[in-house]
Amino acid sequence: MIKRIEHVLDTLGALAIIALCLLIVFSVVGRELIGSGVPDSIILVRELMVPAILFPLSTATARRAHISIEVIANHFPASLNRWVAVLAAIVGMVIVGTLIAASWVQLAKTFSEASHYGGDFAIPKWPSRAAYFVAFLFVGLRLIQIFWVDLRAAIRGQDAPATL
Amino acid sequence: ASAETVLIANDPGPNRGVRSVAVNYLSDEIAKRSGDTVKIQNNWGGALFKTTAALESLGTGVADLGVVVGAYAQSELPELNIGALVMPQAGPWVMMKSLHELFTTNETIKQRLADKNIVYINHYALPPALVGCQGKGIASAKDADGVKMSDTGGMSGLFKDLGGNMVRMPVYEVYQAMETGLIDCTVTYSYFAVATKLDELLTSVTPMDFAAVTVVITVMNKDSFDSLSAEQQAAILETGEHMADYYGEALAAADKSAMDKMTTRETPVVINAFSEEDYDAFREASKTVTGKWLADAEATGLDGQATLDEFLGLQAKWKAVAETEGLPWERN
Amino acid sequence: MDVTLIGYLACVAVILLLAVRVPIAFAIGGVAVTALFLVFSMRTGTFMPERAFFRTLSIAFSSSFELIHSYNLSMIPLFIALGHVASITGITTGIYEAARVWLVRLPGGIAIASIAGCGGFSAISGSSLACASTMGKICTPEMLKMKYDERLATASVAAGGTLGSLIPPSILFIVYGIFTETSIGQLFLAGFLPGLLSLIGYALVVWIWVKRSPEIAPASTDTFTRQDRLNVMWGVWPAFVLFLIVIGGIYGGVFTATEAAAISLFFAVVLGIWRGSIKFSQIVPLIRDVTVTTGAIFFIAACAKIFVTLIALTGLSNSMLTGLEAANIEGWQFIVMVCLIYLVLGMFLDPVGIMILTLPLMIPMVESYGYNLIWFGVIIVKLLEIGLITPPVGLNVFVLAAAIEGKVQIGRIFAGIWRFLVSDIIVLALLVAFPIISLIIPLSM
Ligand code: NA
Ligand code: NA
Repeated sequence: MIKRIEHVLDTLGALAIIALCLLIVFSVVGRELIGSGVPDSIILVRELMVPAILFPLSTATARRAHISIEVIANHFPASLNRWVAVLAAIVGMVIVGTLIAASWVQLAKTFSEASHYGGDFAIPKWPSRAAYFVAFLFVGLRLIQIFWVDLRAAIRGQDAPATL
Repeated sequence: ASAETVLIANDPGPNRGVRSVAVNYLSDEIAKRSGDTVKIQNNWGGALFKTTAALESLGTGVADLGVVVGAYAQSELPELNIGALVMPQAGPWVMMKSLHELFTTNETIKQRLADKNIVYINHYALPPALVGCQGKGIASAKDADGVKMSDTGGMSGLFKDLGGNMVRMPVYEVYQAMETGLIDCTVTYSYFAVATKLDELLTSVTPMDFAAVTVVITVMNKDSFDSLSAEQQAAILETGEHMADYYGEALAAADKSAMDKMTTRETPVVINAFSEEDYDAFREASKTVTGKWLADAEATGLDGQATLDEFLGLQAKWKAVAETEGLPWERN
Repeated sequence: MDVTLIGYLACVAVILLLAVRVPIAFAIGGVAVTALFLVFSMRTGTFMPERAFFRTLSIAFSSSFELIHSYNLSMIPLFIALGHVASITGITTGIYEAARVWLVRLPGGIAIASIAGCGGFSAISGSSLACASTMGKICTPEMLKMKYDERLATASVAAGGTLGSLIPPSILFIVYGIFTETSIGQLFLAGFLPGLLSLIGYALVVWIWVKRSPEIAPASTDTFTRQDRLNVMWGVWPAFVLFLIVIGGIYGGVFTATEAAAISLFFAVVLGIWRGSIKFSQIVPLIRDVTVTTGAIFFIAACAKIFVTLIALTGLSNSMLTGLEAANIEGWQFIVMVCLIYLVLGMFLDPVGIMILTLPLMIPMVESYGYNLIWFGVIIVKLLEIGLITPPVGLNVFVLAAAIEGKVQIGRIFAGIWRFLVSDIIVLALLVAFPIISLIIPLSM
């Protein structure tokens, strides 16, 4: 189930990159040919950056693709490294949990106040906050799963699966 | 409680240029007037938060003191952006005095700021804007048609309705865009142009003799403000009140020396002027912006037209003061 | 507890967590928000956890969101996608074929060619990260294919990527120019020779390294005729055309350096479809492949931004610099201290964050010593660039690892980096000792 949602998120992320690429290209072409670029294009590019960058983060978490430094830990015994993995999941939950809560507060605020950016279209502020919240919500879910899987592996003294 | 309170401040700009001098003046003067019981620790370059998050951050108390920019709070507190509307001509000092009076006497605005958990301290005006160009330049509103201009928000929006080919870009890309010829013109300010050496690329400038844009506003977190003694609070508010005189003078001097630099260099910059018809065209073009502002005001429950009228009344009052008595630093 | 102490403890905590292999984003972000909570709790004198909680949330959101919600950084996913599209459609294979044939006699020739490629890419992008990620996607897999040692294949490009900010255009010079009121145009000119010098330094590193351990860059035993050499040139044209379009567009005033990323991706895709090397339906899956790694990099950078606000609030950088000011030392000692402080901060923080934290206090000191601010800007940018490849937080190394989808371990990349750092330190010393290297071009214009 979560894999399928992540596939959708990844695809939306890719579409956001394609969209912001086309937005900029149309703006440049429009300027040269018809004397006008795409209105509010800078704001739209910024808004698209949030799903483009953050939607795939859940898949990255599931693949354990968050970058870490292995040099020293490579010399640790396997059992210690399994407990370090549990610690990593906890530290991850601290930051990701904070960001989930923080973006929820912002989403609620921008939505209820109907805040918007300046510019031609008065683009609302809440969609990018919502995208931010959704992205980290799924990262958080994956982290809880990783925490559980790694904790079990550490207690049983077996290797945890490399990806989820 | 300790004898000395340290307030943490956040400023989005660098600690260079005339506005940073004013920010330092604010901290020094508050310390002095409070008998060194209130010290301010400035963070520059938006080290704690960027202008886009300023209103929220200052309300929450991430910093005790800092500036908000009206353009980034259009839909939350449109009154902060009232100083960006195209209005009758008025210099920086008149704008700062009249806005200060509006923000300290209008009970509705004071309450609305308090609801966001902030207290108003002072306004910073920009010097009158100018259109800087390379090549042919803009000598009348008609010349804007088809000219490639940077659109960095603010006053540049006016030129869109006059047929300008707006190139949207962040402010920091303006220099290179000018250098490569991507744009011919940009809306800027004389001292900013000189400070960033943009003036070296300009061959002509046309001053835009509107009311000086005044949307940069110092506010303080209300909890931090309330925790101070009455004397300390008074020291802060008095300093804010005095800022129009101090900054008005500093700004005028900076603006003059920048203009002098541009006009006395080896190949002096050509200075154009807009005619009365041009200003009519600008005012016509600005109606969309004012309409949007009124809509935003209404959406947040502010009587936009009444507030605007009240402000225009104050502006007329301070303009009369400036005309009859002269500017404070020019009086003898 | 003193808040500055919390700042120092936070740095120690980050090092410990990184050492035991906690992911970098988690370590920096987790420590930053915990320490912010403590700082806000202490600040009022009385412990007020609720207020501290909301302030921490506010800072965590605004710093990380503003980083991602950025127009200027849109060039990074676009350039990463460009690297991917260019290598899959074979646009770049032609270059490598040509390099292989032409540079067959040069030890480590492909690595040197890759570094030179980074120099060329620097002329179209103002960002070192964009440079490292794009060139990493293009060059490193080719070198690995040719059985180059993985340290060489990665470190050469991670280091080469740092040219992105010295050779104009450059985002770092723009930020520095705004903070010091120096001419951005002059800074751009000043960065050119130091960039070239760094490039030559890196090429020498490769040459010496390969001379001493020939096995890390297996020499080809093939011999090529003159006809072969002419034939391979034909494969270079798609990349060459793309480069010309972008260079012509930026310097001819058609689009900005930020827009160039989108334009070049668009052209690469069009070229790929036209040459039949990709199908329309492949575009979305192709881009999807690269987004996963981009997200991981931005997450680190976002957490680093939260850490920057922590450093600002705890006054850590200020306490370092006021100590420096009070020391009342000779000019050359001052410069040495500046270099050391930047190297330390560069281990953890991002370049723009470091500038915002340090320049306000540092520049008045530099002026009181009477140093040229253009020259000092070159020194600062060089130092910040070095920070991009030093452990534990070496963003260039991370983007490179991400660009090649983790095929080489971070530790292995850092193991190759130190040789390039030696070259960087020598170049830095030359730039400090001979300001004319930086100033000759701006002075003669
Ligand atoms: Na560059
Ligand atoms: Na580093």
